[in-house]
This record gives sequence, C-alpha cells and structure tokens, in this order.
Amino acid sequence: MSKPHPTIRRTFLGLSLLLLGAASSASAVTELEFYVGNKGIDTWKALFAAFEKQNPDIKVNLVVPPDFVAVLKTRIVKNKLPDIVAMGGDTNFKGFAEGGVFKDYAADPLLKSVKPIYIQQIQSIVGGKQVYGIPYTANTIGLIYNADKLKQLGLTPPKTYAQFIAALKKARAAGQTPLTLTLKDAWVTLPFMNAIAVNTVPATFAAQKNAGKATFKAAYSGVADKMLEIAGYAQNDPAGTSFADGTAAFARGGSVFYIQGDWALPDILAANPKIKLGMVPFPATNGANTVVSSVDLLLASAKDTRHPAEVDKLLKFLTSKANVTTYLRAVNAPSVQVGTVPTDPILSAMKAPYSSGKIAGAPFNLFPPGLNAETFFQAYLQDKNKAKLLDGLDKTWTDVVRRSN
Amino acid sequence: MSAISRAEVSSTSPPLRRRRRGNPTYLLMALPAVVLFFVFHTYPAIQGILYSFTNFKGYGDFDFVGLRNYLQIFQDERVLAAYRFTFGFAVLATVLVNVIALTVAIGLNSNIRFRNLLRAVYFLPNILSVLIVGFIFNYLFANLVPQIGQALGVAGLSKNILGDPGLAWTGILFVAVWQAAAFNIILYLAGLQTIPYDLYESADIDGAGPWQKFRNITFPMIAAFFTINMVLAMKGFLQVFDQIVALTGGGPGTSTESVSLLIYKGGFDGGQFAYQSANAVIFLIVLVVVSLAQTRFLQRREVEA
Repeated sequence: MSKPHPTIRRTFLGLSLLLLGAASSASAVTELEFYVGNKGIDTWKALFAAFEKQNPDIKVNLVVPPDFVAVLKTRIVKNKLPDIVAMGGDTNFKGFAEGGVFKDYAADPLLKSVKPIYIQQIQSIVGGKQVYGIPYTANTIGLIYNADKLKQLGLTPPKTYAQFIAALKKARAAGQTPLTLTLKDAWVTLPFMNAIAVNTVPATFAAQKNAGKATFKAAYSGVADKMLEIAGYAQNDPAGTSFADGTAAFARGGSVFYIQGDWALPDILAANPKIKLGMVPFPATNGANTVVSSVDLLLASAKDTRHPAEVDKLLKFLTSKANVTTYLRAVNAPSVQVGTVPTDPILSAMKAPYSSGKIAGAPFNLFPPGLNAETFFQAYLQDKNKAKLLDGLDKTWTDVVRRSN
Repeated sequence: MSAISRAEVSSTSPPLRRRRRGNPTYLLMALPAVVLFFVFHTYPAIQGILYSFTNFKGYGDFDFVGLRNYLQIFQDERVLAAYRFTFGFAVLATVLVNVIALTVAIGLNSNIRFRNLLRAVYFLPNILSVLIVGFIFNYLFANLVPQIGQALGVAGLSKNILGDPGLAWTGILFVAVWQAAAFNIILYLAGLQTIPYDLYESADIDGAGPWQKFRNITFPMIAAFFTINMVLAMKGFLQVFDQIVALTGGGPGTSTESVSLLIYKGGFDGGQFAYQSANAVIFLIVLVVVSLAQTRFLQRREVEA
C-alpha cells in the first residue's frame, strides 16, 4: 500500500480533528464531581436534577464515598480532587485547607449572605484571612431533654450550671436516670467538652497554645472538673454504651437529659416518633451561656478544577435562598445565612442566642489534627485522673505540631 | 538462546545449567504474579519507606527531614504503649490459639461420630469476615453478656467489658482466638494425617498411655507444622486490626490500640502520614526479626526431635 500524499493526509487529519471538535462541542456535557458524606443525599439529588434542567450542558455526578475522609485523601494525593467537596468545617478540613488544595472564596460575593461568625470560623480554622469554603449549614450543641419527664419532676429546662446540677440531683432522688452518656464512642466526649469550653476557655486558646503562652493544665482544668461532675449522674455503665445504643435508650425514655448536637435529634425521633423533645443552650456556667454552632457543611471547590465557570454556576445555584431552605428543611439543620434563627420547634430555646449572636465555633475545630483529644477525655471520664488528661493533651499537642513542621 | 550456548561453553555447575535451560513457559506463568506483586505491594512499600524521611501529611507539599520521624517515634508514649499492647496480645493469643487448635485437631482426627460435620463446623469462623464477626460480638458484649453476668451475679461481667480499660483486651482476645483457631486447626489436621498409623500400633503394643503417645509420637512428628503455626499465628496477631476496629476502635482511651491501628489512625485521620510511615517501617523490621527468630528457634527443636 502506497502512502497518500502528505498534503492530502494533513488535510484529512485536519478535517477529522475539526469534525471531532465539532462533535464534542455540540454534545459537550461538562461533568462535575460533587463529593459528600452521607447526609441529605436525596435532597442533593433533587437539587442537582433541577440544576441540570436549567443547565443542560452540565452534569453533576454525586459521589458518596464510604469513609469520606480517607477516600478524599487518596484523591488529593493523586491530584484528582473532586470539583466540589461538601464537608464539615472540622480538623480534617483544616488539614486539607492548609495543604492548599481548595480555592479561596474570601473576595467572593457568595459569602455576603453568610453570617460573619461562620466566615470567621472558617478563617480561624486555617489561621489566616482566606476562606477555603462557603459555609452551607450549621450544627449546634445543647442539652437535649425529655419534656414529659421534666414536667413529671416539676422542673423547667435548666438555664445555669447550678440549676442543671440541681435538676440532675432531683431526677436521681426521684429514682430516675438523670442523664445518658455514650462514652464507648470516643468522639461523644467532644461535643460534651465543646459545650463547656466555649463558655470557659478563651477563644484565642489554640493560637496562644501554639505560641506557648497557654496550657490545657491552666485553661481546661475547670472544663475537666465540670465534665466529671456531670458524668457522675449518667446511667449505668456509660463507658460500655455506644452512641447508637444510648440514643435509642434515651428515645425510649431512658433518662431525663442527653448531651448531644442537633444531629442526634433525627436518630432519637426515628427510634421513638412520639417522644416530646426539647433542646436548650448547654448550661455550662451560671451566667449567660454561649452556644456552640460550627459549620456542619461547607462547599469547597478544587483550586485547579478544569471547569471553574461551571463550578461557580453550581455554587450560585446551591446557595440561592430557595435552595438553601430546601436543603435545611430536609436535614433539619440550623442555617448559616444572615438573619436566620433555627426554625425547628424542638430548637425554639436556641433562637435567642442565635438572634443575639451568642454563638461561637467549637473549640475543638482549632485543635491540630492528630491530637486525638477525644481519646484523652474518654480515658479521663473513667480513670478520673485530671493530671494525666491535661498533661497528656499539653505534651501531645506540642509533639503533633512539631511532627508536622 | 545465546545465554544457553554461553553457559554450555563455560563450565558452570550442573544445577545452574539446568536452571538456565529451564522452560520459559514457567517463567511466563510466574510473571503476572510477580508484576502484580511488585506494582501493588513492593512499589507502595518502597514509596512508604521514602515518605518516612519526609514531613508529608498525606497531601500537599513536603520536605525531607532525614531521620527526625524515627527519632521521635522512640519518644512517643502512644507508640510505645501500642507496642506493649500488641506484643502482650500477640503472645497470649498465639499460645491460646495453638493450644486450642492442637487439642481440637487431635479430637477431630480421632475416630469419632460426625467427624466431617464437626470439621466443617469448626472451620466456619474462618470463612466469616472478621469485621462482621467483630460487630456481632460488639452487640453481644453490649447486650447479652451483661445480662448473663447479672444473672450469675458476676460483677466483672455485669457491664460491657469493652468499655472497661482493664478488661476490653479480653473481649478482643476472645474474638480473635475464636476466629483464628479454625485456620490453625486445619493446618494441624493436615499434619496429624501425615503420621503413619503403625507408630501408634507399636506404641500400643509397648503399653504406652495416651499422654506418652502424644509426647513421644504425635508432637515430634508434627514439629514442622507446630513451627509454621506458631510463626503464622504470631505474625497475624502482631498485625491485629479488624477486630479492634469493630470492637473498641482502640478505646477506652488508647488502652486497646495496636500498632497497625495507630499507624492507620495517625496516618489517615491524624495527618501524620510520614511519621506513621516511619512507624510502619520500624514495625516491618520488628515483624521480620520476630518471625525469623521464631523460625530458627523452632526449627532447631524440629531437628532435635
């Protein structure tokens, strides 16, 4: 077979390339990858379907990996970060953001509708002016109570620490189990710790600690004392009770109080739809108490995404008031938007701190990843060894920071 | 081809020549496995070793830091505690598994009714996933065992033992031994079937009792199987991971944290990828040394036997 003339070949090649190009631009559907944990999956799907109807040239692929963080890390290592990641503003986010893989939204108009406190949280997690994700939903920690049981005891929801301890004592005297604690899962100690520390430890603690000007020994001593005192009113064998078992037990009327975030409410109601619940700001001190409200979900996008325009389009769509409301209703989470307060009747007592701005991010979100504070608190609530807890946290913090420098 | 002719010209030793002339088919048959092993095992292992000299978090930029990670590991109380727990656990579990497996294997090898059914039953735990078994036992320890403990009035068992820092390891040990014994039973059974029956017959004629038969015939004859069982069990239990994930997650506190679990937790959740890679390299060396020492010691015993 003789070769065709080079000009002919080149023309043919050019033509075929043109054809290919034309074909691909005609049916070009940009595919965006959207990574999310396991919350509100159906709502995401519905939102994306509406978005794709408006933008037929964009397809959003929802990916719900098991073990979200580990999978995301492997993707980052391979430099194949998903276009958009929906994750919590937590210590994992801190690690990724410090690794410089997310786009900075500090100057983006999308942030205008977000309460400044949540933007500050995202900034302080990384410790700069950058905002590596758009806050989407918040969570809140409080004291959950069984309204019927509280009424039987002739009590009102406690507003101060003194009232709380008195209520626990009264419940015990009446032969009730005052409190459910699920310490078999180490992470459960974190919301417990956060709810107290946000009121008694200065917000600058993490920065001070990194500068060597603060210690757990000094700052967290009171937190440890209060945790131990409250834990004394827990059910039998709290150390052997897992979050799932304890939540179900509380739902069945196992105790008067339960210390958890709002994420536990759907689980409680699923186990017992008839239960009358309430949540109040955690009575950590005898003054006015600040409520922990962290960014439960933020939308971060890959710094080097191949489709920045499409990503912006999708983020604009998702953060529109109507769509945010749709999502919040579905997952029943407090909003991060300016001028909103929690609407769920169970959280009615939480409205005041939200409207007066007495909310703050969880202190734990500023701890370095790898500190594993939860394991220290889990051990402490059993061996009651405060010196071991505080020294251990102090020393490990220093070690972990030194290792990553 | 040229290699063979050169080999024939040079006066090499016969075995080498034979190997050179070997049929390339066998080489081709072995090649895919070698390639797969290299790509999915050797190459990542080398990568991990290289990362252990950096401050890599698992993502983002990193610098070389020399031996710093290795020096810090030896001062890390959490790592030392994990080594203590892992070795204590592995030694106990290895002894228990081998005693149980050998006992059961002798029973299953003797002339009893339903022998094949029983063998199948004893082998079952080996087929089940460790994680599933772990979650089932997690439920049993939380709900069933405390009820039994309360009924019997045993204080130690009246609560979830997995929530007690002093007792949680016993729960893990129980599940690990229960599941691991099956595989070792199979190995011992294979060994017991290699013993010629006439040895026992002559022992019977000499009037030997069952214990004497075990001491002087059975145990020496399966010495090689004993070695391999001890080495495999030890190696497996030193790497204990799934059972702990399913039962305690390393808690309460860090009282049941094994080295593997610590490497995983610190490396993937704690952003200490390079640091825990160094830990993994040290652990690899420890595993190799332990296995070699065991093999040498036990094989000397075989020769004497």
